[in-house]
Amino acid sequence: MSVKSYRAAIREALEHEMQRDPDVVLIGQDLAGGAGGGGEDDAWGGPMAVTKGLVGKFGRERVLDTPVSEAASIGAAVGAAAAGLRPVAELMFCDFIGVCCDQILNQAAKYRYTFGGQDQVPLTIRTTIGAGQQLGSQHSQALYPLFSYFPGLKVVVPATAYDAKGLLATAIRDNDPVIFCEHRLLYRLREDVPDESYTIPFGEARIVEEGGDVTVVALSRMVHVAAEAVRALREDGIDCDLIDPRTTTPLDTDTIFDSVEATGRLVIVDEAGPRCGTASDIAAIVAEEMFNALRAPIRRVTPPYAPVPAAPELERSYVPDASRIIAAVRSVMER
Amino acid sequence: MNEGITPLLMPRWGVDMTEGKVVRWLVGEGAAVHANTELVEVESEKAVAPVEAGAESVLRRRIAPEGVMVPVGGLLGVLAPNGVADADIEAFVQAFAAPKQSVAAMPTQDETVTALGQSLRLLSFGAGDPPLLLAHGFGGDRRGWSLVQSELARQRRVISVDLPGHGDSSKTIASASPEFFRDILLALMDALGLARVHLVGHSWGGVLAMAVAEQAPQRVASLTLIGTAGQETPVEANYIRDFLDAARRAEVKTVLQRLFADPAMVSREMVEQVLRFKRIEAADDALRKIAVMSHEASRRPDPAAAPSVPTQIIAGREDRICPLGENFTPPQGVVLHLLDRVGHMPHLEAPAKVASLINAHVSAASAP
Amino acid sequence: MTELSTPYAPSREGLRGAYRTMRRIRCFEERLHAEFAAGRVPSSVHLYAGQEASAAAICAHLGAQDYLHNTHRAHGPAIARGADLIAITKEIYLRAGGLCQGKGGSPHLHDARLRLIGANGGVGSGAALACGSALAIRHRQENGVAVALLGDGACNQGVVSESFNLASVWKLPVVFAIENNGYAEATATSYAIAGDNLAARGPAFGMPSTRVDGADYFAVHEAAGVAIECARSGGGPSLVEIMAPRFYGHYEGDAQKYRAPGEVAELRRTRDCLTRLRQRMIDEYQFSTAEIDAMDAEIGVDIDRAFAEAAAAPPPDPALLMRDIYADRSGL
Ligand SMILES: Cc1ncc(C[n+]2csc(CCOP(=O)(O)OP(=O)(O)O)c2C)c(N)n1
Ligand SMILES: [Mg+2]
Repeated sequence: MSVKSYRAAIREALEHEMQRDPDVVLIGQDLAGGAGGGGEDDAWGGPMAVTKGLVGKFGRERVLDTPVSEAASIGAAVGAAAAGLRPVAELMFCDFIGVCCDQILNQAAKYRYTFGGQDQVPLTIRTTIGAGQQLGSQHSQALYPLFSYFPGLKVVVPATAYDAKGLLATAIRDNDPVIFCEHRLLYRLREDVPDESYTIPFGEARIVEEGGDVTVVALSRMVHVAAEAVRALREDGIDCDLIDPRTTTPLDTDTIFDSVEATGRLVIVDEAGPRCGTASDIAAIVAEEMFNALRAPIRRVTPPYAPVPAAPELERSYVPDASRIIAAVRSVMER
Repeated sequence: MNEGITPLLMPRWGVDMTEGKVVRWLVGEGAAVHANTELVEVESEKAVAPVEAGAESVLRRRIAPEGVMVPVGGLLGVLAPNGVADADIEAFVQAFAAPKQSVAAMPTQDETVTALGQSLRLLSFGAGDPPLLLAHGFGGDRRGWSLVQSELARQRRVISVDLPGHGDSSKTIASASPEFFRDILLALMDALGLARVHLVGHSWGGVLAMAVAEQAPQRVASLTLIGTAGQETPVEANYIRDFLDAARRAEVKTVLQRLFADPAMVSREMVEQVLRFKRIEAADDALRKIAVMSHEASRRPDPAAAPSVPTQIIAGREDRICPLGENFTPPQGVVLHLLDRVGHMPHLEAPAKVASLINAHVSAASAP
Repeated sequence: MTELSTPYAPSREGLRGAYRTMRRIRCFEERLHAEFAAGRVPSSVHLYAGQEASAAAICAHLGAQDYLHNTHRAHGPAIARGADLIAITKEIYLRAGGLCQGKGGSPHLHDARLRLIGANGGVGSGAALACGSALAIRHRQENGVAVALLGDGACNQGVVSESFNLASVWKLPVVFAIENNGYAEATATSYAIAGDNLAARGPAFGMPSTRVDGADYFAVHEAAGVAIECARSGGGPSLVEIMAPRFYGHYEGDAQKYRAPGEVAELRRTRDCLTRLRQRMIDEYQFSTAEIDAMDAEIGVDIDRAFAEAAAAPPPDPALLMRDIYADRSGL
């Protein structure tokens, strides 16, 4: 056990899985950096410095830097997975999915199904999500609901360093395509993480807090923002269950149902948008299955239905904060 | 007055850099530098790289010591031509807004020692030898003693250890036999320079404690066995299997509830802690090996056998894991404390009582 | 590859303008470099220093009817196209009064009035958008051209190859101006560009194509002139690969360890388009040092003013968050 950043925890999972299985290969832009140049190899170690050091340990045969060609490189990763490798491809920003949509949403997601179950696609795509760095409308989105729309893909949204490490190991060993969404603002988050290899099952939510008055479901970085709100609410005598689903496909509805059964009140906090998003999805499922248990309307706390602006002041009003969560919880308590 | 004085600042390498660490200075004070002379090496989360002078000048002051974190824009040093007076540089430094201090690491009482090639994590509290040495049960760890530890530490040093395969000790175990774990405890005492200890063992840890007392009675000042199975009282057969196989939160919770008289004692944190431990592959592997070996160990010490050291047994009347049979009677000289409304975890279910029983036993054993 | 060449016989006024533009870009980027290092610039910025001759020479041929599609390395081309320096700076600082009202930021500098089209998140998409601009130009019979600036790295996007083909199939008035600065992020072109020759891709798509030294303003001016003239006169698309060094990192904060020690210093010494132009103006066009120094001073004042105004500008109006999502809000 030692204190590690979210970034280091992810790196460690990659390293363990590469040691464990020689068929695990990494594919992406500047995973090492320095190819073809006159300077150092591994000059970047990934655009977010997540893969630093891996090329030194595993060589360029297993850490493959690509040209700026997501359609080809993600497509190649899909093909390699179907042919028996276990690639981990990196899509630098989830916002770039546009140039390789077909490879992910059509090829990876449906390969097995379309060909009648003859093959499997054990592919992991690591990508980054989230606002908060003033990078504007095309480098700040949280597009995981898009991935969960497609049956055939599994979707992971780790909120902590501990979860990131264990869930990435599970993703790599999983025999289906998994989209692993790393929130860029969490890379510096540090906590105790075991040094050894471990896995966390998909479809099991983490219960972050137990309260009993209101169920708060939050994803990715919003778990931390919601935790701040839950702490403040506790001082006012409102005790919340705080649930982090950790994976949006599969989705641990049981844990959410159990909590809503007891509280009758649900607030969902999501950095993805308010339309066709994860919050809407969970709200619909709970409304359908748990209608009789509900004592108040379900509330969603999401960004507005707008692109992400670059200016820090505008961006701050875009991303949900603790005060909006507190207001939503209070409003369901009034019913 | 500040003519020619240039601050050397902590650079910002990328959007998410807020601070950097001064790795080492590359030139000394007083050195004449060119625009691209590398002055100091700085480490960010992403890279280690030199900071250049940026202009021709003289490095007059190195402000930030090596090894410290400095926020972006914080003062690393001062550049100025030789003509600038020292007093002016001093004034400049004084006027410069001091960088924020970064958070210091939390002090910890944990330490790690190596015994028989295995790294062992321990937690020590208090002072006074011979100390109490606490050995946890199967699947437990040093933190399981948290409710009794400080009470015990009022009288003497208390050391709780993570046995190999558990907690934060080596997960890859050299052997799974009770003899190996007995030897680990003895080797740990050697490593800590302890001639004698008061031994406390819970459940499987109690089995190990007995083995130590049998092997080296002169090194055991007293023995307390908590919820420990004997030959007459076998471990509930399915418990170990169910504990090993529980993979999800709900399953782990149900299994853990069997340990307690009151199932509500199983908190979310406890479940999470056990899950985190069990998920580690090497730990799971170790547990499975230990389970097999303990099961197969034919000659298990029995708390009912006549003790060679002062011994007491603490057990819960509602222990379903290692129930003391109806007819159990402790051997001569051994005191049995049967606690009401307590299951297999007396030190968590009745911590005050357990602490006082241990303290009393240890005092009695220490009396001349 | 077709040889393109029209000798460039610049006027003193033309050279003065070119120097002003390039010097303005250089000063701007150097200032921004310092401001970023001091932690005063939000977000992430990519500097254009070293590549100034490219934007300056291309823009020298463009009129009001023409489109320029920018890359994420956006400040230089925006300045060359004549966008307001203060509005550019405010946009980079994400303040009110920025070119995009503070909603876009450094890579997205856009001025519709000037037909300066901001870069997109996904590199290379400007190649396709430029085909669209060209289509509109032709449709309206505007006698204009669309220039797509593209990085070497961006050329590895499928959309760029598709756009080369489409432009050629439709004979669009497009110029694909590839600014090859040797790197895409931390990866050198010698690794990532098969064949290490982007100009060679032109003929494969039936386009005239050439490669020029981006450190030589005169050469870029000639090559761009031929390509733009070809497009304007109905000759269809062409490709110009401009070999221009990048003097700073990929983005600010890049430690650039992938570059050889001394590489940048050597490039600055031997391949600096600005010092070369300056020298040539003095040697061949009778500019005096004093004359050029006076221009430098003037530019310095402009830059100081732009940064001062940007730093003092207020944040954007909070209402902007929900504005301009749709042009037509009926039914929403
Ligand atoms: C589709 C896509 N993939 C990756 C990126 C990340 N990215 C931003 S700039 C850049 C390098 C582009 O290199 P190049 O086109 O040569 O332009 P330069 O930065 O050298 O000016 C990359 C890979 C992106 N913006 N879009
Ligand atoms: Mg480039």
